[in-house]
Amino acid sequence: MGPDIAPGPDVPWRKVLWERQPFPDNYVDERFLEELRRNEGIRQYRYWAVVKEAVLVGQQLSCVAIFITFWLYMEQGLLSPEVLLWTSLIVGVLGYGLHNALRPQLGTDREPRTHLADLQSAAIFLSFTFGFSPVLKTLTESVSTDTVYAMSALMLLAHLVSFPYAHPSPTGSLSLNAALFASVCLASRLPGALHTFAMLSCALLMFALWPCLLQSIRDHAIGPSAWLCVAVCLGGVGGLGSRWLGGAVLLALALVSVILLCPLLLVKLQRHKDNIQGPWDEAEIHEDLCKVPY
Amino acid sequence: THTHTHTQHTHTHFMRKANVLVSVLLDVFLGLLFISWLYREQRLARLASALMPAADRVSKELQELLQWLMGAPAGLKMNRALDQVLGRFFLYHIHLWISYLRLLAPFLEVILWYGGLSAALGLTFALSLLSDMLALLTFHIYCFYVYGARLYCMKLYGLCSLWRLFRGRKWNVLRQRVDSCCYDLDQLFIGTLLFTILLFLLPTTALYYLVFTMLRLMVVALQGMLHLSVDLINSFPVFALGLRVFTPYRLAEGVKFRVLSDEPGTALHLLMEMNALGFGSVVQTYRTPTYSCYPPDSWGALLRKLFVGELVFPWKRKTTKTD
Repeated sequence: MGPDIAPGPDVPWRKVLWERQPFPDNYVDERFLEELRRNEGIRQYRYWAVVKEAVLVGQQLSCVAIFITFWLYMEQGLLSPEVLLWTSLIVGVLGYGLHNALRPQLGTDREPRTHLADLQSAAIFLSFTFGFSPVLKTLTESVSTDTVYAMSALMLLAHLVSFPYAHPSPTGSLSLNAALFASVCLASRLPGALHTFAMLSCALLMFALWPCLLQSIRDHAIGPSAWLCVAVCLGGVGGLGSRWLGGAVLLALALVSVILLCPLLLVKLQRHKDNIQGPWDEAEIHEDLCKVPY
Repeated sequence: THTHTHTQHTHTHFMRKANVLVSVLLDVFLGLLFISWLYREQRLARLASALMPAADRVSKELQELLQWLMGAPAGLKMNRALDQVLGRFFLYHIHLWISYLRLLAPFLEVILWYGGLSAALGLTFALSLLSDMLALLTFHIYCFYVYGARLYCMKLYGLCSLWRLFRGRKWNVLRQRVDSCCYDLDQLFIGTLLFTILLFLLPTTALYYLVFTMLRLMVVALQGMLHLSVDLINSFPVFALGLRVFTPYRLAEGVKFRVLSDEPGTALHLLMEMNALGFGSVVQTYRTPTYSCYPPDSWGALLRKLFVGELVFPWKRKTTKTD
């Protein structure tokens, strides 16, 4: 501590330490903490708007549940792979048509090139999966069933956690890869190579292509997209309930808590928020390399 | 100091030349002893006739080992299809090898007879020839090791790269670091499929790699012992040791003084004695530098190479003479 001299009125205190001033080193004046900002980025949440956004999370959860339902049906032999394949094909073509109809017309020169590229991608997917399905079928033969179930559950959980809910269209790598890994693990437990192929095509449709369609629906029609998500949730609960009642109950509980309870908590707990910011914070660099527009 | 270093150099050169000459003579003497032991009482014929059954037995043991691997070895979880493919491939290889050896069998005795004669040039020749013959007879083990190691290395490399794709990252070659990357949908799809396949086939490949690496390391250990004994014979300073034993005053480390008479009034009489070099330091100072074939890797680096699947050549000779 420096010498205790009463500050003179003609010597203003400056916030520097490299000059010898007649104040002690830890002296502060009345402008202390003037630059403190409290709760700067706070937003006012409205309950039903948040619920509308949270329905997307519930929708993804139900998507996973629908996938598991299909797998349960195929494993118990109640659904034949040909039916699933034809259904996936038809739904895929319909979805592609809808996606193209919803996309804003960016100019006719873009369309034919993109159609050809899409056709090429689809051909690659189908041929690769079909060619590798015998190999994939015997992949987990010697691994015990419990291990396979545990791995699939872990990977699906990772998929749900890392899904880019804000912007589903350029799908996140980790979420898509985790979902595909889980579907390969599950598909290799089915009785035949054709079953594996059908399951993988279904997984590709649901985890890779459905988010793109959802994104384009959300871009152009906010209202119907929320009801679509609700319809998917109901479909998930119903489908799971037809084979596994306990799972359906759990899913319903999870959906209710995610869609209705968590937004309530978010809105109610906003008043406890207490962030402080000031010029002492570290500089943040916002750089997102993945947000490159097509 | 100039004359001192000059004398030092001439002394070192003299000792080195003498050591080399005596080592070579000792080598030739040991070789002639070996020949005289080998060529009487039909030992060579018996050796030649015992060699073919020994090689056959080694091949049979290898076949049994492969059959064991193709089953469920030690209860490990192997992928059946890949197991069968790899096992059949290696079995066919062994079959080729046995046919090759059968082809060579009639000429074996003649080769051994002429080979044994080379020991007249020194025992080290015979030992080196033995090491080479061992390498030739276990050539299939070396082949298996290379196949297994290459497969394992490629699999690990693919897995690492695809694991980065799984997380959405990529190896940046320019900056030599891992960066985030936006992949296309089909790249992600095919990448995940391949990752799953490689991951589940890893235990099978790793087991084959482990088994063949063990075999190869055993052969390498045998060869290493032969090389080390050759090295020993070549570099051991027999002449210097003989000099130390018979005329210790030629190799001195220093002098020590002993007081003879210390009476006041007379001059101090001291006796100077040479401190002879200890045997250990004789060997260390006068070793002939040879083409040292000590392993270039330390134990840690060797283990790391084995873990990653890089090919290991533990006795690869250095190209320059060490001094």
